[in-house]
Amino acid sequence: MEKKKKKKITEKSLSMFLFTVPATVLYCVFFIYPIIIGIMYSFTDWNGLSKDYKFIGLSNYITAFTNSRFQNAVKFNIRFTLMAVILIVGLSLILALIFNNSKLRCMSLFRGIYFFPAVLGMLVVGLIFNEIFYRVVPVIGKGLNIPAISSNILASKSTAIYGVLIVHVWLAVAMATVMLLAGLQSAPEDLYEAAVLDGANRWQKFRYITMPFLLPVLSVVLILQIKSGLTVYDIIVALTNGGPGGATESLAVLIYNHGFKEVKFSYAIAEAMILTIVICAISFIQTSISNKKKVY
Amino acid sequence: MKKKPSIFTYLFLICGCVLIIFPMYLAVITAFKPTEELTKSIFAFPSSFYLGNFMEVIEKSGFLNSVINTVFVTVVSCVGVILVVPLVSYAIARNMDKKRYYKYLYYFLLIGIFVPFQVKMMPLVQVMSNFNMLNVPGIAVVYIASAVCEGVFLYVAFIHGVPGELEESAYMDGAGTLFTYWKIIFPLLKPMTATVLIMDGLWFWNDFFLPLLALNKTPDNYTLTLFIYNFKSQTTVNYSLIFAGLLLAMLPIMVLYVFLQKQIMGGLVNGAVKG
Amino acid sequence: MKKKWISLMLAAALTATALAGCGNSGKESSADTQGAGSQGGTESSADAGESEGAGTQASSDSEKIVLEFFNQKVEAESLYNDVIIPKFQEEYPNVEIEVVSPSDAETVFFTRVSTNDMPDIMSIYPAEYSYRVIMQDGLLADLSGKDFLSRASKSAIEYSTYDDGKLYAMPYGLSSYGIYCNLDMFTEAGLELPETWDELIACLDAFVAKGMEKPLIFDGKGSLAQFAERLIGIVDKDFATVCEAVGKGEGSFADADKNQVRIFSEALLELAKYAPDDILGIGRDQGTADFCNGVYPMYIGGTFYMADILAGNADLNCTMIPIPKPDGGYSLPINVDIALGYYVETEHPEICEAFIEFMSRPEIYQIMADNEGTPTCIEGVDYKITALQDISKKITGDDTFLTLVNFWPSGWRTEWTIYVQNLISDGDIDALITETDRICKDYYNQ
Repeated sequence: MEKKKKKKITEKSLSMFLFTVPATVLYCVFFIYPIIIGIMYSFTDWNGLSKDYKFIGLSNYITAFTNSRFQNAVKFNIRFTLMAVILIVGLSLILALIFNNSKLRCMSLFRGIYFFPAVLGMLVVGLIFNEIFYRVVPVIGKGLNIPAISSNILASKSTAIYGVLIVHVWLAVAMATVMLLAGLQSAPEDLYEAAVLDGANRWQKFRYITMPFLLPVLSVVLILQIKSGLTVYDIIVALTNGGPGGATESLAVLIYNHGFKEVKFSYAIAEAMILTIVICAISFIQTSISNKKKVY
Repeated sequence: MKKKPSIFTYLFLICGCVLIIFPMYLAVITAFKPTEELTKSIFAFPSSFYLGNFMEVIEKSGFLNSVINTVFVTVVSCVGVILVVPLVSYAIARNMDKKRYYKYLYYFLLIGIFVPFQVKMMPLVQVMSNFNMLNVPGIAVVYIASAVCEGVFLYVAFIHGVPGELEESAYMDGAGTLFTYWKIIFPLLKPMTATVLIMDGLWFWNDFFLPLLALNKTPDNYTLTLFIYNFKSQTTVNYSLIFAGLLLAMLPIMVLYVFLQKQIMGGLVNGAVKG
Repeated sequence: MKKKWISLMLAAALTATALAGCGNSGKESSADTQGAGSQGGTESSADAGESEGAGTQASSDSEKIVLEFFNQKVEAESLYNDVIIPKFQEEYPNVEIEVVSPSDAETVFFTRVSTNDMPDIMSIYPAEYSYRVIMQDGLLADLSGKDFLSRASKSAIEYSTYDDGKLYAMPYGLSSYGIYCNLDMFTEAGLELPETWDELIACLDAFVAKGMEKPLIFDGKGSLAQFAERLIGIVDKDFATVCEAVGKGEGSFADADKNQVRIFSEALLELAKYAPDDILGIGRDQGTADFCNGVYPMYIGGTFYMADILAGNADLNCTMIPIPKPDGGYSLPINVDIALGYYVETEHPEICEAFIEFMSRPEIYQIMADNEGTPTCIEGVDYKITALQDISKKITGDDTFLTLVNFWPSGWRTEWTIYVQNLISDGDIDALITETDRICKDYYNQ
């Protein structure tokens, strides 16, 4: 009996180990290995084209830190990410809670509609919103006599960030809602019933039942949104191209421009590595906060 | 058991719908207009439902081929992700509190989330070229590898919420680990599997950069996104054609969503039956 | 229920699409081969492409020679495939040329260079910095001294020659920048095409007086860099030399003898007065669409906008005029827009060279010029695009200069454009001068 149990544990732990092998191997070869090569380039002066390059140590990193465009991009990203994360997580949480109620009428219609933006590729989003900001919003703004939106908001240094933000949120809420909804599904219905019998009010139910089950997925959504805010790229290229006057130049746009348009490949990677470290740090702080609150 | 949603809930939802539908409306009506009508006004309802744009896109050589490539890449990658990712996530989620290997593996796999694409873009193309993988099956393998980190992140979080009693009793009954995983755990992960499928499916379907860098050697390898972008650069201001192409490209993914959203709500249905 | 309905409808639509696609693809491919003129051309080239994709330079097949042609002018892809390459194959029946023209071609091209995956023949922009890096590395074969070079205009050859005096790419097309004018709107307003700066401003004023509040449009977003670069070159074609001097600490753009930035700023602000207030939010798509629809009588842009304008409104009666110099006369900015070179280590250099020579024959390039629209520098080609006829004559004339992006360090223009946008939005000329000084110091001291 004793022996059999021991053998089973070995079988189990061996299987568990084998479970991790395919994903880890793939990930190492096609993810980590290219990243390591990339990091190595960041310590050289390779321009992305020449055959020759030499090791220059940390000087790409130092140049990046002292560059005013890089600093501006960091500021933009932080502002943008803060606003985007609050809006996206807030809206998608509300929507997920609404959609989690089976008594909602026309549920699948609403869900279908709310999912639409996620399906669209960047190309169509860029084309449509450029036209909307150029031709539709100003007309509405003039009609309602609101000066802030009476002309193309992408054209002004102070408002362009909001134009980009609106489109980013418009696109991202759908997927975040889907994830949160999946998280809500892990809370068993009978717990709610028991709570109702115990006379819990709506807030108590949310605080003590929904929240603990939602929290793991919520923190995943938070981190993914922080990441997508800090690496925002294609929306900006499609809408403002970093302008006007650099007002919406994000780190990813800067990195791409440096790497491909300005032939400073290794420098661009150094910038990207700094960005990586920033995202890691923020996410680490975020997880350690939410881990403290986590209830198993 | 739950309260009926109030009228404000509906108002809120309807407002949101308007914000979402208006841009969509533009995309759809544009696709149904002949070009001359479009240049007059982009907002007017089309005078008739003109299907010529759709026909022109479909008739273009390479369209069907790119659809096949994209379906292949998306299906193979999604199947690969579903085979590989929940497996490793299960092992990690159940062991990370006890064994260091799994804990470190978890963090190792998470690092990937934080690295912007630009860092690995060029080296990745080099690696793919060394393995002769600059082709349609090759890109599918890379997608599976790239989907590992976010997938593990989501699955591990979800598995933490799944009670362990069911599988424990299976182990007690002498079931093998793989058997237990496949028969007991995997079905419980349905809502998350559907979510990951939607997320990754959308990504593989719409991705532009990796196919651009890896599949540019011959138009026979083009995916739908490459086809449409190429098409866009050839026809620049002809929005009607571009939007027709884009609508055609998003139909399949919409179908996928309609089927999968049922799975996300799987738990809810079960609960309702129990209640 | 509703859910089922939606999914059913979508599925039905999808099936219909797929079926229609099936039905048509057969027809389409047969049409392709017909167009190609030589039977089996497209099919075998597809096969060859696969084997090449597998990593071997497709030479196991002793009969067919397969070359890859990386073409950055996406618009010309079908022209090469359907007309030009079949004609080439009449002379070289055993050669297949696979045309590769991805969107975002430059990114793809640079990635391929950096992963050591060079195509055999490629279209490049020989005057620009990134391509000069490739020439410096010796990746392109030297074409200097070849007979067919004499078919291109002298200035084009000069503009395409690398610093070491050798020529690595044969130029075919030149681009320029100017103002597209809607001739019907000019006639309606009873106005002549302007030739000098004062006439241009008078003309704009006349449109304003006729009730057209904003008669001018340009792309204030993505291609503002190109416009600003051309405009400052028009002010002083040696501006890049001055930049270098300032960068090395010899004076500042605030000095009286280095007033180029000030003249440029005043000229740009004067033009911007006649453009919509939200010009910085207007992109090339919107600008082109509005110009095609006759909303604006004047549109500042490059000769390479022509294809879009023709696609948007083929009947538009327009012509391009040079941007006049603020102090009189004109000076036309030129860039080499189409040029072909070949990889130095290709297995079939003689065929690559033969193709480049073939393309330079006037009767062959005529086909390109008729369909593609870029003004050509090949002598003996009759350029027929009416809207660009005047400018194309001026392009091969004497009052031209090679546009400045080719002289500035890489990245200079991108960064400078940020402050040009600031200038348009707040009109602060001194700020632009200060920043231009700083950018020069940053870039020329690296």
